[in-house]
Amino acid sequence: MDVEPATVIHAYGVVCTDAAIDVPATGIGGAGVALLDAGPVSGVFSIVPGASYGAAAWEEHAEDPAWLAQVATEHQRVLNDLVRDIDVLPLRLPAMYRDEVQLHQMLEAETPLFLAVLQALHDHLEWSVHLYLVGEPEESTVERPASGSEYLRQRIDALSRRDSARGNRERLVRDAYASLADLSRQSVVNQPQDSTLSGRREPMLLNSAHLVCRRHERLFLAGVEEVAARLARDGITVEVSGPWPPYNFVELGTDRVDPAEARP
Amino acid sequence: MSSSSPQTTTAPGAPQGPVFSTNREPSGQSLADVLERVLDKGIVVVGDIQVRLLDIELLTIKIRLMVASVDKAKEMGISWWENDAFVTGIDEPDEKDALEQRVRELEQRLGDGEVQHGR
Repeated sequence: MDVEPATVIHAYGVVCTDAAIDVPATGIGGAGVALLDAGPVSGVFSIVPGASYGAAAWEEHAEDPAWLAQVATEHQRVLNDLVRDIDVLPLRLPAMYRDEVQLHQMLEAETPLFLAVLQALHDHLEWSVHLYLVGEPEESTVERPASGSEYLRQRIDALSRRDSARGNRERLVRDAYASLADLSRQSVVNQPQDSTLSGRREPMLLNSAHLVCRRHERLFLAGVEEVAARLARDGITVEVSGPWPPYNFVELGTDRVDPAEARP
Repeated sequence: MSSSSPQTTTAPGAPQGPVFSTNREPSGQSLADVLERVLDKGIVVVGDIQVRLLDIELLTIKIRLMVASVDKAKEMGISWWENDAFVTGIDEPDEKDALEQRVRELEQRLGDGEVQHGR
């Protein structure tokens, strides 16, 4: 195994080069944040201790939620600060480079890809929507069956109520998603989050991300309000968070670049 | 239809409007949301990371399984999502099995010391 270098580069994201960009003061582990100008695009990065954030550290902590949470949160905070004012392409972790020369080489080699995606996502941000089932339809109290056939009838009624509640819920969720997708440039449904990670006991019925133009933000949020009002009586709550960098939509625009051409 | 219509009640204290969590105050972000995005989404520059002492593919697959486990959803009683591509975002019902198989293979290779780090 290579000797861990004293410092490595942690890259956060890619932006269009602009002298006026204000980067946040601190990033991962309190390290300073800087821009690396590679022509049309610039990388947002920190120089971090190799012992703490190098390859060996990643290998050691790859499945350690506490360590990952810390790095992920600090990484996201930097992107979050930037995305309020400018378009940023978020890099998936681990985004680690040996030194600035290597980061510069990567940025130069991938410039066509980055420009295509930045152009496709221009002025768009991501919003996250979760639907939770917080209340169940109440089971009506049934009379003690007087006969076998009475019992069967009650049983069939109960099953049919359960099926219709479930079918109804599925329809409500689909409708809610469709309404929000109508207000978005693009939408994606992700798997419901693990309850151990989300810390929520209620079943997550929908975990979706929506790409929304900055100018249409208020329209989208008004749509969320409407959906929430509609679902409240069925025991479903709506949670929205954002704006996020467009993590779920970085594939947009990539079809304009021939992957074979981008490879060295 | 049955004679008794299903009764629906709203959970006591359920908010009528959406719960907002704007990123203008970072403390409002859910950790699950951050991990899901930062570790499983975002742009990947494949093959250009020469400091590559760990297998990023293996890490990504493991995290994907950790972040969004269909089994957990099933335990929570919402199994009807399972085979629904619209809802789960999984196109192939066998995708998770395939991912798990892939993790096993990669672990096997790691164990055998066959994985070549760096290219």
